[in-house]
Amino acid sequence: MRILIVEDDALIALDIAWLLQDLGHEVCAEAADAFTGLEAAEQTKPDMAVIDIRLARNTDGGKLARTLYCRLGVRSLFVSGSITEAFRKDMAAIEPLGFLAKPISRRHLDEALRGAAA
Amino acid sequence: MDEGEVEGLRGRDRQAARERAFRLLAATVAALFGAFAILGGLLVWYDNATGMVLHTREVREGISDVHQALSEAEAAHRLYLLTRTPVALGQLNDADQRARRRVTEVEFLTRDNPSQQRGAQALSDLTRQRLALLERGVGLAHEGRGEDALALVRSGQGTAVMRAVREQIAVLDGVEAHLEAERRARAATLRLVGALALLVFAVALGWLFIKALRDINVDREVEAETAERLRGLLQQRTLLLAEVNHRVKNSLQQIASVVRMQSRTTDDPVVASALDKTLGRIVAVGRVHEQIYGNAGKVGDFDAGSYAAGLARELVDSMGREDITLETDVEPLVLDMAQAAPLALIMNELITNALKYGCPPDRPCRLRISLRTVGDHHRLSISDEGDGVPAGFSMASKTSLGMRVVDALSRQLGGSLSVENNAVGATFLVEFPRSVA
Repeated sequence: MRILIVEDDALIALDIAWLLQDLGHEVCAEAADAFTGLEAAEQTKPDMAVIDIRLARNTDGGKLARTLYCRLGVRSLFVSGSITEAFRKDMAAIEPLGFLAKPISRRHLDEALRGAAA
Repeated sequence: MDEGEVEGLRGRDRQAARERAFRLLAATVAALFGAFAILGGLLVWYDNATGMVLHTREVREGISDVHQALSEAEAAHRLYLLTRTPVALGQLNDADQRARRRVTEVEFLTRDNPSQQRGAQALSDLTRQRLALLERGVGLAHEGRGEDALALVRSGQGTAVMRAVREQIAVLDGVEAHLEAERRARAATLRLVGALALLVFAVALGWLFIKALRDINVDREVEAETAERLRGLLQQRTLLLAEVNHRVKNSLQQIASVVRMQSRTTDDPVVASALDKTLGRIVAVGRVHEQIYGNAGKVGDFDAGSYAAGLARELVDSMGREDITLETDVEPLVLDMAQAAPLALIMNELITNALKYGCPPDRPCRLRISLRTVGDHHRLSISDEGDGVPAGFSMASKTSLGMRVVDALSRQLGGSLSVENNAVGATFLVEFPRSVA
């Protein structure tokens, strides 16, 4: 799958990119905030997005995921240190691919992506 | 302004409001008692004053009655002298008795006033003198000495006494009339004072009532403000906790990411394996954190049972082997935060160890994990079906880092680690006391 990564921490973004490549996926773009994330998505048309909830420049991963879903039909897999029940309920309408709590393990990421590809 | 200061200030405000309300209540009660005492006193005084007025009136009526009775007695006396009719005698007798009775009454009523008492005595003497003269006239007439009786009347003695009686009555009545006017004025003043006191009392009571209502309102406002502050502080604290929680997990993720990338870039399989183990430990600690703080509703409890089952399943699955059977026998075991992380790391080490050494790749294996409470101890046991520990294996040797870590953490929990060989494989056992908290 062609995957967009939106994560404000460069090291974590690098790690996720590497993990995704190891798992046989293609990282089509990386972004640190919601604006560049949306631009990248419009340019590269990914199959899905891996999104952190709190992003750089004080932007919101949840809103970005909503926009991606509504404009481009791109579904998201959330990776965050703060996933609340309220957030899960909020996002239910845009069919998220999953919610992974940091620190993520390779196995959990793999399982979530298998679910997405199926 | 920090939390303590804010709470202190609110506390002082409330305390002050309560003290004010209490003082107001005490003042109201005292004022009520005072007002009732004053009104009671006024009432007694007024009653006394009106009594005095009545008393004066009685004296005046008595005096006037004495005069009237004497006049009637004179009239009856004259009638008798002229007609000798017994009816006149009866009338004289009645008037005589009435005059004596009334003058005695006046004497009695004026006993509280020495000068009037003297006047009343004089009046009494004069009355008796006049009546004695009348009796003498009747007596003479009765004896047939009509001329003598008329001569007695003509002598003017009776008229003189009667004049003296009138003068005495005028003096007495003048003094009593003056007293009556004085006492009426006093009663009227008291009536006015009473009415004014009642008015003041009503106004004061109304003022106290309004003030009490206002104070209650102030108290309520302070309370509402305090509640608002507390809600704010709680919200702040919740936000802070969520923020710290987020940071901790992000930091763990950063470390995990770096370690994972290091592992990936090393050419040495031994180093890669060591780094992967470290990664496993970091993730294990992250899971504990997730379980403790992830649930916003209830922070602080850690269910070791479900954690153990979840971790074991995860680690077994990560082996990618279909021939390892996992058996878990755990009960819900709520530990406090201080016990959670050490136990999680112990479980991570022992399960990883069992999968590495206790499940030889050449045959199917069974891994048994049990976490239960026995008496006042928790007991974690992990059994594998490997080749068992070597004959010379001892905790004291502490050759592997994993075993040293488990041994150290077991002691941190106040417990101990032991290992024994079964018919097939080995069992690692960690026992530690239940939390005293």
